[in-house]
Amino acid sequence: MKIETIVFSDLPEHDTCWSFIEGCDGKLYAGVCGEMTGGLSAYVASYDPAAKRVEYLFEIAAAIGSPPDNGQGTHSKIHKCLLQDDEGIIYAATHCTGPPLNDWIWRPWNCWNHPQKYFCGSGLAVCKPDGELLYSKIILPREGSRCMALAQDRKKIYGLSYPRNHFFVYDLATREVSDIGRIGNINPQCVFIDKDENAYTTDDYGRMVKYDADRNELLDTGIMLPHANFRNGYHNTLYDVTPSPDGESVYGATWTWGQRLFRYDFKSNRLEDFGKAYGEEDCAWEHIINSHVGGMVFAPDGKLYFAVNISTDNGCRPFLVRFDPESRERKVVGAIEADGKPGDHISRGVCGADGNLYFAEAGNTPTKLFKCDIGCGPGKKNKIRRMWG
Amino acid sequence: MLNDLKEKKWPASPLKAKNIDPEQLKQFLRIRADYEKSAFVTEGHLEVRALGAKEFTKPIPPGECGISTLLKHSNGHIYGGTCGRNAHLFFYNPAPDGDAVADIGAVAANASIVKLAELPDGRIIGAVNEGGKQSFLLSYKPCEVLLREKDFKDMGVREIFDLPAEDQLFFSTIDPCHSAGETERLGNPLPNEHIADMVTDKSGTRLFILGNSSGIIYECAPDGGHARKIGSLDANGNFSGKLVCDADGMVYGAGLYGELFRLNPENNTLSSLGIAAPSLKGRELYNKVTAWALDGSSGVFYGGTLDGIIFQFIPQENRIVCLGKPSDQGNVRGIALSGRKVYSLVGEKGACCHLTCYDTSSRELRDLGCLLARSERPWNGYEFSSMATGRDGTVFMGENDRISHLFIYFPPV
Repeated sequence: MKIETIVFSDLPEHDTCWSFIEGCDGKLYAGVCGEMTGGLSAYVASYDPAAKRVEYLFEIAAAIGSPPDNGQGTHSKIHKCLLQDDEGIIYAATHCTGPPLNDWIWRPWNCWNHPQKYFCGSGLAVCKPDGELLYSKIILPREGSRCMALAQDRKKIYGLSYPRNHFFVYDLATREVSDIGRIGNINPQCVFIDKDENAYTTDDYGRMVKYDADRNELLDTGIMLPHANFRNGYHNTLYDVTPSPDGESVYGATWTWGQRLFRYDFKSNRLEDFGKAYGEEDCAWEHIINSHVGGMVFAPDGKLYFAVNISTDNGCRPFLVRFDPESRERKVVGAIEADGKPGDHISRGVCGADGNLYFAEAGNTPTKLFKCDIGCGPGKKNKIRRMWG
Repeated sequence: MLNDLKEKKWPASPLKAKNIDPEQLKQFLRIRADYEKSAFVTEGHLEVRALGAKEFTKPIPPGECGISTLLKHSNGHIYGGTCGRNAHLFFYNPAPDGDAVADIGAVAANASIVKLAELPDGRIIGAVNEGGKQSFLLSYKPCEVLLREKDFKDMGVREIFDLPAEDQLFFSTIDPCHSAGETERLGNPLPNEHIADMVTDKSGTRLFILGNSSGIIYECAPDGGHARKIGSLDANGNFSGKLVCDADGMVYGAGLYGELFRLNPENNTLSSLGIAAPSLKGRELYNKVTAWALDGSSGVFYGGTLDGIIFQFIPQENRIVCLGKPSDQGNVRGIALSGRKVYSLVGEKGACCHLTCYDTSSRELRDLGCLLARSERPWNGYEFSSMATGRDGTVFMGENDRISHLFIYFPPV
């Protein structure tokens, strides 16, 4: 495996990249966030694999009219909330946790009604592919937006608010938000959609909740995400989900210790448990960031790839793992590192038109993409674009 | 497209400052640890219970479990009513071998149980609002009431053996079980109007019902027969939707500007007391008393308002004392007394509710923080509608959200 990095070097204080999608134009789009330094705004950037060029499209705080130095909780984060429709229109919504200028920590419960440090609410910026702003709107007063999915035929965006964890529907035609209600305590990190643009996510124990778009209500699917049998399933929410090339299902990983890998067939409402994503069972727990699976993506070779943080003598670091859906065999392809420096965490993965796999990193400054040439060329690239963050 | 980012001067983290002192970093880490937890209730102990014993059953489903009212019953249980797609009646048995909620059942679709009141014989009367402007009364007989009325004639040994003697949950190692009584739908005393609140007189033969849109207080019999008008809290509908009763059966409410009224059930006269609940200056017109609780030992009432102000009403002196506004939010959702402390829930719709405390000994009014419990599951409480004090001073809080729990607060000793 050959690895190169694409560094967002014009944003030297930004430290995470949680949203990363394949655009309809062959470019890759990323939300570049700054969480650990007060007074930053997130930016939306694109990378053109053909031209090998990074472009910074827009500063989201400016787009929504809430500058990062105004003393409020900042719009420094675009979590799993960057989407693009087939016409190229970009939808990006902000999350909170970034501190105000000159502060170094911020939480919504502490600052909910603070006269200066409150967060004005998740702002949605709707832009052309070149970053030209079409409009913006605060869609979730006082709350951030944790993850979103785009139902472009229904002209809706589905998402989850933070910290109150309400499922919301944003109507792109009327520009109105509907609160469908609270789904749990912990935000899942993903809302995905099926072919009919119904949405799916999970509650705190990994129970799959379906938003039935026709009925406009949340339903219990009866499906529960797998977990180690000695845990009670708490915090076993969706973490990363990628569309299967078959168009009838998705592959996903959970967000807890001992992450499970699974396939969910939304047509038949069946879940296949592939066990722990990689390695031996984690029986201890310390900090969840040391146990991480993300960046799920199908490569042109028909195999599923994802990054797993594995403890080594030199610390916990991400490795690329290949999973064969037929044999269920999984194998480490190699460490995700460049210039002798390991990556931190891989949030999302994308397969470029060139057949290379691109992974967004969270946790290093400046933040970057890893371009991984796994040697299979463009081949039969998955034609189904991920329409969720 | 942005082409000038290279020229931009970026803020830098203080953690990256040159010459930063290790002591500064240590302090940063300590502050971070404190800060993360500081928003939440840190004194006493807080737990939640789903509305159903999770070992055996699904709780009352999302969209039906929002707790709209709570009642401490003389049998020691906490009874509650919900609102939503179906309104349910439930009880919580606080005994160590119970410690769970039992769903008694759904009583109406697209409805809200707005108030529960206990009659002297142990029956519970519920006020239920349905779709449109319809409302009705509900009767619930716990198992102990049913047992009193039971005719054992022609019953076999097995039937008698399994007959429940009380509403209970029992996690027996042999035969786990629960039992609940019977509900009955009664009449509709207020045609074309929802019920805002309801209290009973001392004898249990009369109910006083406040009309939700008219502000009129009515009386009716507990069978839900037609109600008779007593009087109005305000001619223009500026009234508070809560009533409260003292130990002698006097009923109190509030009208325009939060002015207090007393209803004397002996002669059904409704009279102004000439005093008003406190409000923020200039907001008197919008003032509402949103919660009441009676200190049975002193006869003093504690009230909370839409502005988030907590006050004392001393009926013996016909006097109101403003205790203050303990949180930066408005809307007191409930008040409950435990020992010498008065607990309140304060929080606006769509925000993060805070628990507050007034200590009648030290006269301190404090914000205790947002509600975060660890057991029986980790859960943040944001929206509440009711509070009640249990038999041993435990404070119960009814969460009113799409997914809701009974919060149980054990105040510090």
